[in-house]
Amino acid sequence: MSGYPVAARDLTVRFGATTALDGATFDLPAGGLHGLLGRNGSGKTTLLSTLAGLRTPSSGSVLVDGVDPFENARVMGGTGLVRESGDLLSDASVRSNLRLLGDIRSTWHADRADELVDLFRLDRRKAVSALSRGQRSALGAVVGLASRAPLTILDEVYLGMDAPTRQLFYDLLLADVIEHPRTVILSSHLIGEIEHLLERVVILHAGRVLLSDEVDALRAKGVTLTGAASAVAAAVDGLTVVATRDLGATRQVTVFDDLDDARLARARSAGVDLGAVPLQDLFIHLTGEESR
Amino acid sequence: MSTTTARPARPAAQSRQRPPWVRAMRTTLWTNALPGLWFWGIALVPVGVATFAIDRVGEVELSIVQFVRYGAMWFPFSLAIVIAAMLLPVHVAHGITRRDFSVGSLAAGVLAGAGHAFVLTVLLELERLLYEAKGWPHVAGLDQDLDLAAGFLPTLGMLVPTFVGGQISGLLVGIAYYRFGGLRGTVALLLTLAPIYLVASAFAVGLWDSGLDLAPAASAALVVVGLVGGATAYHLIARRVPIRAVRS
Repeated sequence: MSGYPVAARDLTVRFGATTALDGATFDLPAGGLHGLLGRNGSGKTTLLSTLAGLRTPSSGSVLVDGVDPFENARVMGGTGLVRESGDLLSDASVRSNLRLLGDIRSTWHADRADELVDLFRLDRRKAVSALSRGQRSALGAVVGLASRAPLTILDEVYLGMDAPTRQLFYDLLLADVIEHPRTVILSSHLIGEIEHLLERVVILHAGRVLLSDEVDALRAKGVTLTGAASAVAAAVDGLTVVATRDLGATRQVTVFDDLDDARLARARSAGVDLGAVPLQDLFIHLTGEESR
Repeated sequence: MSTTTARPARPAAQSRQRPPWVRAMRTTLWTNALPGLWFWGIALVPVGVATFAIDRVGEVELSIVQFVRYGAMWFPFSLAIVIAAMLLPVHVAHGITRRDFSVGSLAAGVLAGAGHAFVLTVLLELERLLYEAKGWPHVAGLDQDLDLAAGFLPTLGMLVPTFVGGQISGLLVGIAYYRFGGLRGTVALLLTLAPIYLVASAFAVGLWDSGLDLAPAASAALVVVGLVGGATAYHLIARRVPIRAVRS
């Protein structure tokens, strides 16, 4: 598998009296799409900036491809962090910025950038500051995709994109990562939209890692039960319920707990449908519980 | 989900590309070059008009081109501030280390300073030829630091360190504002402008109105301290600076 593996060990970053990251520890293997999820102010951008070598930890360490990325020319050259609109010159045109990136980035694919600019219908002559929020985000997506860095980090790059543009971005990202395997870390609030893309997920809350696991393994730790409210209530009695939705007489409950085969069989026989755990339910449950 | 197959995304192209510091030097030099060309294009118009007008209404008694000297130092100085404050975060965010950017931008600053000095020296020489043909005295007059009779190489030898000092000071001012913020960046001007003043002092006639001229060795020492000290300070401040997101 190509791309850089990533590891954080007891990573702490402080800004004066504020602790943005508090002893974060996790591993992401080389290759594949991984998710970094967290509420506003959870430390996602600080973590990603540290991985990209844009700042140093206060304590602890990060390893990208086995080494500290800070001022490591090989690793920094192979890492692309896209924050919102792509860290570009705001008063320069889209064309000038893409030319600049071609001069700076060793992994830059100019032809791909041109294709993507057309796909996202961006005006090359416009200054970045003259683009709409959604267009700036699309330009960030162009930068992230055309950089084809072994470690590509996309920090809430979808902000301002409308739904069709976001879907286009997800489709292009998945196709590009399949064709050019690398490690991609996707930070997002829109968990429902990206969870099917992800292999592994790290959930941050208040600067701490609440959970780091493979998405399939997380889904296997729980179940969604849908059926008559009374039957569902009986089936989940005594279990950890992370979400409940009622629609008339029908109830859908997400459980994050061990369900033995006998309990599952009883639920099925009571007419309850069983499904996978939506990552978003788990995220809301975990981060909400921690906030209380 | 599986994402295996096909071509790896390792930066295989990296080895056949220029070293990162050279890439940083090219982009920062280009940032200097275009406005620099505009500067000379714009500066030459008033020089020509002033020479023609003075000849018409009176007598040409001193060099007009000499007055471009301060513009040719302070305009690139302001560009260097922009380079340090705006291009550093863009470069580092896109994979160039601070060390490579620092080396590249310093190299570009030296080349840009030398380039502006060369252009000004050539213009002074061309002006001298014109003045000789017209029988006008080609002297500095007001600016006693500039000896126009010294010849091409001595003039170039004085202007190159002066203009390079301007570039290094500009980079220092820019990185100090970026790293330390507005208030502390302003307070630090006392230090960040040191290269330009040290080098200018090295060539000053009657240093700081004392009536004393520096010995050649002392002048050389001031130039070295100003340029090397400034470049070192810039490198040290830049090499661990946290990079904030560039807002659009």
